[in-house]
Amino acid sequence: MSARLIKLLTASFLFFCLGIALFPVFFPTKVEKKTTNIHQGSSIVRETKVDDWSRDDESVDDSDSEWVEDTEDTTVPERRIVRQDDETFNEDDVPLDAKQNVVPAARVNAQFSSIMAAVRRLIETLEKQEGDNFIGEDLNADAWGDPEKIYFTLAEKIVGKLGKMDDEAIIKYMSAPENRLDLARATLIRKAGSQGVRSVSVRPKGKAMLHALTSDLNWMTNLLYSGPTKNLETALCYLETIYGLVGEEELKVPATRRIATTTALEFAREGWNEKDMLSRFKYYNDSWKEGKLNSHFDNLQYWETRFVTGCKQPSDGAGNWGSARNLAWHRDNVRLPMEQYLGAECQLEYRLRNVAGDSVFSAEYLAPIWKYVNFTTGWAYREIGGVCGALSHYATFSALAAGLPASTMGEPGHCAYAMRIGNEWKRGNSIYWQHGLHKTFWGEPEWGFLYLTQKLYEDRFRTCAADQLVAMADLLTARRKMKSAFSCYEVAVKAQPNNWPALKRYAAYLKLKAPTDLSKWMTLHDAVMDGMGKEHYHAAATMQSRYVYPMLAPLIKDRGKLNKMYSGLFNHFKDWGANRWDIAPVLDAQIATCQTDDEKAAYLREVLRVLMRRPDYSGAVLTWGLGYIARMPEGDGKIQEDFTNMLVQAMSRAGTSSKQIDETWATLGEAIHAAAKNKERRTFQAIGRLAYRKCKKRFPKKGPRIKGFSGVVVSASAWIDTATTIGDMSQCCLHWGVLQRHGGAMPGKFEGKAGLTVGLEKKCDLNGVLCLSSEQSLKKDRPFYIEVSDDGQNWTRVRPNGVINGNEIRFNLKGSEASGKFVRMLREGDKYEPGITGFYVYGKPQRNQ
Amino acid sequence: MVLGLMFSAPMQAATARTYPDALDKAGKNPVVIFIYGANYDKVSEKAYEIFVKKNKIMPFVNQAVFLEMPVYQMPSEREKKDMEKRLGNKRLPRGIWSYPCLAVVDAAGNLRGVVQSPDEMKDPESALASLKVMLKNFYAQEKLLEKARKAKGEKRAGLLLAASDIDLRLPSGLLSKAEKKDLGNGTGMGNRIEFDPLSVVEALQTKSYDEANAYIRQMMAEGGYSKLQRQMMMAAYAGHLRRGGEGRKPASKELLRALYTEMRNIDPKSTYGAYAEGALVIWVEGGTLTDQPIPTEINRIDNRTDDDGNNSGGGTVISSSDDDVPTTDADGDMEQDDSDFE
Repeated sequence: MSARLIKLLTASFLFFCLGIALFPVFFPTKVEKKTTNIHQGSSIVRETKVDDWSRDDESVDDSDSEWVEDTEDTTVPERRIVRQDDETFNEDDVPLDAKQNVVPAARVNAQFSSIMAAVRRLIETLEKQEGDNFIGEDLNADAWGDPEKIYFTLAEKIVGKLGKMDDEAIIKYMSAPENRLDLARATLIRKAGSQGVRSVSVRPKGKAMLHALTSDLNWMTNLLYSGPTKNLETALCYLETIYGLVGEEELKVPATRRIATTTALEFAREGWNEKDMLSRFKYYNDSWKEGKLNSHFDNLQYWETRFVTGCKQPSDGAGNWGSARNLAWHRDNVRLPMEQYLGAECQLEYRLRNVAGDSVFSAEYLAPIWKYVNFTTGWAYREIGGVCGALSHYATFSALAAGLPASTMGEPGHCAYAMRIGNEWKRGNSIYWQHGLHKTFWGEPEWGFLYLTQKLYEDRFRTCAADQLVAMADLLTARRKMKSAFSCYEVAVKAQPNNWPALKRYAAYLKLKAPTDLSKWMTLHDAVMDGMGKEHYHAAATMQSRYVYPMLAPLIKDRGKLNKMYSGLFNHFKDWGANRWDIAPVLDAQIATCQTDDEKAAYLREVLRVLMRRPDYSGAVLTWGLGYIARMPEGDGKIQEDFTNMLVQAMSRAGTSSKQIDETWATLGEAIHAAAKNKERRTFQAIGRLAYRKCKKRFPKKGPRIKGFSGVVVSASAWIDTATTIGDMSQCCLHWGVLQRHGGAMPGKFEGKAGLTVGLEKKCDLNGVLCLSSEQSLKKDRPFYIEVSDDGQNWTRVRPNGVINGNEIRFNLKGSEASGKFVRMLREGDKYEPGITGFYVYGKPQRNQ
Repeated sequence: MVLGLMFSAPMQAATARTYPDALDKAGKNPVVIFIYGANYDKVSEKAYEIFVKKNKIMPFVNQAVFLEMPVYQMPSEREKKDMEKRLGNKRLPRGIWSYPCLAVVDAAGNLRGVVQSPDEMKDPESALASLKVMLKNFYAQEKLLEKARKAKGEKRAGLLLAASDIDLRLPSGLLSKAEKKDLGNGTGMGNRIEFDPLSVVEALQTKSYDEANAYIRQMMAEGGYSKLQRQMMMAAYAGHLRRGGEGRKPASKELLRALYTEMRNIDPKSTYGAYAEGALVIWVEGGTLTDQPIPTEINRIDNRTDDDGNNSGGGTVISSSDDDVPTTDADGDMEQDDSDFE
């Protein structure tokens, strides 16, 4: 009985299933199809169901539409996305408005005055409204399952509310917090991409987190406008993880929210994994809750917190400075007032080798100690000691562990660090002007950009207003409102002229939409000079050389005018600004726009005319010029000769008053250093002779009595270079003196294949080498030796080794058959840095040379 | 015993309001300074509440002078004035790595010891335990230094050596240049003050195994070196053999085992004792260091230590005939006992 019943039920079920399956075949459902035309370059392809809650776009063409069933799957069809819009200018699928499809005429300063007054009011409004945070509850959590729907609805809403879409209407719109929240939501989707947001929404707490985040104007503002938002979709995933871990209530605590958001943003930007991100979040959140961070951390804004929570090397393990384990050790063992972290490297001994003789650069250096120090990097180096890298990291991570902004930075052959004391960035363990920060917002590692970052975000509400104007401009771009978008970008960069990313974005838009509009480019050029160029010289010059000159120069037909514009850049700057910077890329960019040798010569003449009058820049321009000549293709050599003559003439024009002598000495020092590095013998000699003529008193009066070797001193007309990194180049003319009878001075450094190198005029047969040191009793525990080369690449050791006697090293090469065009002196064993006062190579030039 | 009684019960310590005042009052006693971050650090604030406000330290420092010293971050004008008032024309001693801490300073302002690690400063009891040891060492060291001031020649050198064996910093400027030169003349104290571990590394670089062994053993035999210095010598020696070099193969694992064991046993608890232990794991056993305890079988050679933490067996001697395949000799002379100086 029961078996029969089961059979009956089974048959009924199968029949029912078949019916379900065949039903659509016999009774097809009527569906309304809808899609939009796709413009070339469009980023958004929308597909809407009939019952879409959003308002339909009346202008869309339905003729060629098709219905695609929405899926529960997280994979979204390729056509149904809002693409991430970080570097490009994607446009939505909306009809083109002819009135908006124009590039507005360039505006002069006076035309901005009324709108700038409105911007000032907006800035005040932002400041006032921050205290009363706006919470917009109009979107529920479930809505975030369909980010495209949200985006298109918001986009329509925003454009609709803008009315005339002129400057006043835009500023007025942005004064209302609910409008700024709408703009932020749309921006979030554009930046993360709809697929990215969707992938967040399907995570366990995704919708809830997105709802909490996107309802809160302050949170959204801090997320979107506190620095770069690269890989925002990953950052949102990370935030969802933290949200799942600590819950919504804890994320309402301002410090926790700040730590969570900045950690997520930085780890996503850097491409670091979620496990490490969570570990970093827990470290700072727990430390903050336990009251273990420096109280200064409590007052940090989001952008500056990113320097802290985004510090590098986050994984656990020996050698990683940013692991939670290492940070906790620094936090508990190096507790100091902020100012004392600058210099905390003194807690470590400077050691190139440990007491077992292992090099600091070898894996063996710390290997046996790791267990003892609980795999804690800072502790390990405090026990064993280290060199500049370890010392600078130690100080930096001691500050970071306490919640204070800091970053290590590279210098030529050295590691230093930057640390913020109060609101001012200071250098630590620094020996040189060239710094490459290891933590940057825009990938520009030089000091001037760190200074710019500080100044930009310090001016918080102005920057926030400008960032929101850029977000609005991006949205208008996407909605194909070119005229308003242009206007909005222009107001943004005018409102905050130090906004590097905004300027870059505007320049990119200009390049896309009006590449040949001379007045627009000229206006941008002037805006950079008048704005950023007032204080941030390096950034302004970089902006011009990288983004403006390549577009502007071809539009200026008058070369004289162009050259004046180029030299005017440097005329505009008072000095180096926040820090000395490398002007070579700017000069390279300028000369790159010259087509012919004549144009290049005219350009060089003009920049030398201007820059040689500027003590700050004169040495740098000579250095660049010498480098440029060295890099030029050989050709007939005329242009090289012209350039060399121009440079030497420029140097000769230097004055001889006592103040001018100092400047000349420093300028020539820098230039002769460059000549040695470029192996430019003639220039090296020309500068050396010139320096001797102009600043004779700075050279020794007469050299010591020496006993030479047979033959002539063939090194007197050579160039000489030392392996030491020269921090202060003002004394480099004395390097030339080292080769002369009267003597000179240069730092020596002997370590492995690093030593003292001389480039002779011709290949010579060598009889001997004599080296004099400022050290009266040179170390004798290791031999000095000579190597020779014909090409400066392949070297041969020559015997015998040097005989050391007091401050003298003598190499008697008679009978050794040594010959070469290049001679270098090296030393076996560890680093040794005696000063050199004379270096003389004796021999005879080979005839066939 | 007297010292024990001194530290067992609270006594009224002298207090001072300013640093110069504290130094003036100190005489032959130390100054204990509670230094803390006053306007930026909750850990310091908490420690101040417990250590100072609840009076958990001051009653136990006995004859020492107790001083509390705030350190300010980005001080306001008022805070700057407060600091100026407290410091007078003096500066806090260098060598403090972390606040809050308890610094022990002599009357001349020399930093002699600091209680500053988080483990020590986590509560008053732990801090006090470390501080008591430090104060005990201070008096013991001062006693020896006082005797040394009156003594001359080798006796003076011996007393100074004994004072420097105490786990406390010596006051700076203890020896004049001339005295340093005199003491450098072959006395144990001379060896100790002249010791530079990197010059040992440098000196070994060109030496054969035989020469290196003779060099190190001779140094050890001269005596006067602290345990740490002896461990550093051994580290240099073992490193030289481990790496090999021009014309020299790296030493055998057995030899390295003997050397690192000897090095560890000089003072297993020190940094270089731990270094030797790690070296045994990674360079002798070919293992890796993990969070797990180091297996005991690594310690199987010469694991005995005497009361002083010194190896009770012999030293490791290199066969003069074979640089490449060195052997160990457990009966060789290893080091001079430094009990003469105590």
